Amino acid sequence: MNGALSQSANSCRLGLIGNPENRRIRDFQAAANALGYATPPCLSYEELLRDPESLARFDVELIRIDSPGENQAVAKALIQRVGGPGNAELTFGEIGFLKEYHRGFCGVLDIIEQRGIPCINPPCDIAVMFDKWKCHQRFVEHDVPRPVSELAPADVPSLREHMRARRSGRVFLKPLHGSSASGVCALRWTAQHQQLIAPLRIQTAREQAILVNSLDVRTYTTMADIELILGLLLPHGMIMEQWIPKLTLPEGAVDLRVLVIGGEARHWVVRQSRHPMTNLHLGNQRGDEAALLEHIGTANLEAAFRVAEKAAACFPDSLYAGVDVLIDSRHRALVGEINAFGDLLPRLTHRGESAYSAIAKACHTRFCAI
Amino acid sequence: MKRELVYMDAKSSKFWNIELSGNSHTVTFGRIGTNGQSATKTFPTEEAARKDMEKLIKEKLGKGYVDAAGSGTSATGAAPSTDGLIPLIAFSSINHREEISRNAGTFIGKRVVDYDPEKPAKPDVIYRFRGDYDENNTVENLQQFIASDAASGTTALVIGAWHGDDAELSPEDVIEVLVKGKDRLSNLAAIYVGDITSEENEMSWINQCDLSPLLKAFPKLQLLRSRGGQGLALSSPQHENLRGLAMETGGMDVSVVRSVCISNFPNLEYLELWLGTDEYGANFSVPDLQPILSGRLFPKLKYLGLRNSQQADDIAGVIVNSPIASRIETLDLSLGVLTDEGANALLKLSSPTLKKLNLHYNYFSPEVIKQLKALPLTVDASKPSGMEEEDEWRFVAVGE
Repeated sequence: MNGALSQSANSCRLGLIGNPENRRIRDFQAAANALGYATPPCLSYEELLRDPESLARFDVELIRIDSPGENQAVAKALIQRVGGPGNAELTFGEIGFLKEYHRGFCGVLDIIEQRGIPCINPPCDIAVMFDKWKCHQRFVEHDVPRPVSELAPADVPSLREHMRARRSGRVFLKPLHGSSASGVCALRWTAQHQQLIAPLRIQTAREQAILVNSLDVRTYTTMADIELILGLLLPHGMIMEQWIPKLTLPEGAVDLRVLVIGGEARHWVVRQSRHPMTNLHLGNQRGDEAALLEHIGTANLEAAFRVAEKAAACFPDSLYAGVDVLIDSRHRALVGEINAFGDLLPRLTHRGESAYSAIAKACHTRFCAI
Repeated sequence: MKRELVYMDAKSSKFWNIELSGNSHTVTFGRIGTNGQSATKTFPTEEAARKDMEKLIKEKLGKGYVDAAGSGTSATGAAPSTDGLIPLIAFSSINHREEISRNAGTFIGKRVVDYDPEKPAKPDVIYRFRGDYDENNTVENLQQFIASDAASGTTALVIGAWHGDDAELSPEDVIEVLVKGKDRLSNLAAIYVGDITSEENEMSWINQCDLSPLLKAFPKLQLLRSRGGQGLALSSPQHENLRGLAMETGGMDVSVVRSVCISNFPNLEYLELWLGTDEYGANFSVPDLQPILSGRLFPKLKYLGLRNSQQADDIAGVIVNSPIASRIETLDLSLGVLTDEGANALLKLSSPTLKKLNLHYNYFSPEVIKQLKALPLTVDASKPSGMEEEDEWRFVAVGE
C-alpha cells in the first residue's frame, strides 16, 4: 500500500463531528485530501444540538468525533441540554457548569452511539476519557502507573484537614470534567505559607466572583484568594493527585505528550515549562527531544512510550489517544492523563507523517481497507 | 599566542581555548574533562586574525569565563589540585536567575548524580541524596552510602529535597547522619544542603536547621553551601580551613547575619549570602553587614556576594567606600533590587583588586548599563528574559 490511496471499493465515507471553524477540522480535512481521500464532511455540534435529526441525515459510514471545545455557543447549548440555566450567562473563558457541560456532552455522545455508525473512537470511550476519576480507576485496574489519587473533599476546610492527616503539603487538583488544564491547580501549603498555581484569574461578573481561564499561569499566595478559588472549584468535583515534581531539564520542567495510534506510540512532543503546568497553549514551549533523550537515556524513553501504550490499551476500541506522560526525577514514567482529543499536534511528524495524516491512514487500515 | 578560559556554574563546567597561529586561529571547546572539539578559522591578514581572537575572548569574558590558570583549573579537569584545594571558580552557586528552577547539574565543578541504592556507589562521583514523593528514604540512602567503601574517597555531597512530600521537615536527621559518619567521610571537602528547586519546595518555605555541627565534624571542609532560610542557624561559626560559605535564602534572619559577623573563618575566600526580602524574614539592616564590609573579618576574601537582596541599592551605596571593596576580586550584587541609584554608586568604585562585577538581574536603564560596561572591569549587567523595563513592582529574583 503506498501513500496515495485511491478511493477503492473498500473505502468508506468518513464524516467528522466537530466545530467546523476550528483548525482541528480544517487540518484533518486537509490531511485527508493530501492522502488522496475525499474531503470528509463535517457535521457541526451546533447543528447537531439544534436538530438531532441532522445526524440521521449525515450520510457517512465512519465517524471521527472531534472536540466540541473553543465554541461558546456550543458550550451554552450543551449546558442547557441537561437543564442548566436556560440563559447560562457564561463570561468568555469562565470556568463554570463543568458537570452540566460534561453531562450535556455525554448526552450528545449517546445520540451518536445510538445512530449506530462505527466511530474511530467510540463515544463510550470518549465519555470515560472525559471523566478523570473513571480514567484513574481504569488505569489502576490495568496496572498503569499513576500518581496516587483520590476524590477531593468538596470544601476547603475538609481538604485542608484531609491533607494534614496524610502529612501531604502538596497536591494537584483537577476538575473531574475539565480539559486543557482548565481549573487545574497546583496547591501547596505549610503552617506558615500557602500557594496555589493555576492558569486562571478571579473576575467579577453578575455581581459575584467567578473564575476565568487565563493563558498565563498565576500564583496565588493569600489564603483569601486560595479559599475563594477552591471554594468555587471544589463543588464541581475534583480529583486530587499526588504532586510529582517533574523532571527538570536546563530549560525547565518537562513532560511528554505521546500520541498512541493503533496501539503504537507515534508522535511525541516534550512539553516544557517554568510552571507546574506544561500544557502547550499556556505559553509553554516544545522542548528539546535530544536533550531529554540525553538526560534520561533510550531505555527510559522507550519505557515511557510503553507506559503511554499501556494507558491507551485501556481503551482497546479507540484507534488513538493522546497520553500525557510524567517523568519523575528518577526517570520513571507515570500517566498524567489521557486525552480523547489529544491529537492536535501541528507541525509534528513521525515517519514523515503528520498526526492527522497518520490517523487518517490508520483508520483506513483498521476500518475500511482490506 | 594562546589563551585558556574556563566556565563553571550549576549547570556545566566548560573550557574554551584559543590559539593564534599566523593568519588563523583555532578554538577548542567542550565540557571539562573531555577533549572537546576544534575549529580553525583563517583570515586575510595576521592582524585580522588577532583582532577576531581578541573580540572572541572579550565575548567569553563577558559571559563569565575566566582564565584557567588564574582559577586553578584547566580543560583537563577541575579536580582538586595536588594540594587538595578546590578551585575558587568551582564555588560559584548559580550565575543567572533561570538556574534556580533546576537542580544542580554540577557541584564544585563536577557532575552531580542522584544516588541510586540499587547500584554500587563510586568514590569519584558526587551524589545527590533526596526524598521521593512516594518514598522518603534520604536518610536511609545516606546511611547506606556512608557504610559503603565509596564513602572515604568522596570529596563532596549534595543533599536535595530531604523532605519528600512533607515540606515542613528540616534536615536535622540528615545532618545527624552526616555527623555520625564523619570518620568514614574523612575526605569530605564540600557539602551542599538544600539543592531544592522551586517545584520541589519554595526557597523561603524550606525548613533549615543549625548547620554548624557540620563545621565541627568535618575539619577538611572547604565549602559549605545551603539553600533555605527558615530555621537556618550557624550557632558555632568557626572553622580553620573553610574557604567558601554560601547561604541562599529568600529572607535572611538577623541572627544568621550576626553569626557570620562574629564568625571565625580565617581562610574564607568566598562568601555568598542571599539576603532576600522582609516579606520572607529579612529583618537585618544594612549597618548589620558592617563587620563584613570593614574587611577585618575575612582577610583572604576574594569573592563577596550579597545577592537576592531587596536592599541591594543601599548595599551598593555603602560598599563602594568600604575597605572590603579594595580587597576582593569579585563583587556580586546580582538577583536583588538594583536600580540606577545603586549603579551610580557602583560607578564610583575604585578598587585596585576588583576584576569582576556581577549585577545580573537589575532594573538599570540602558544609559547606566552603558556606563557600567565602560568600567575597567568585567561587568555582567544582563537581565533575564521577560524582565520588563517598566516593571511597576520591583522585586528580588527569588522571593517566594
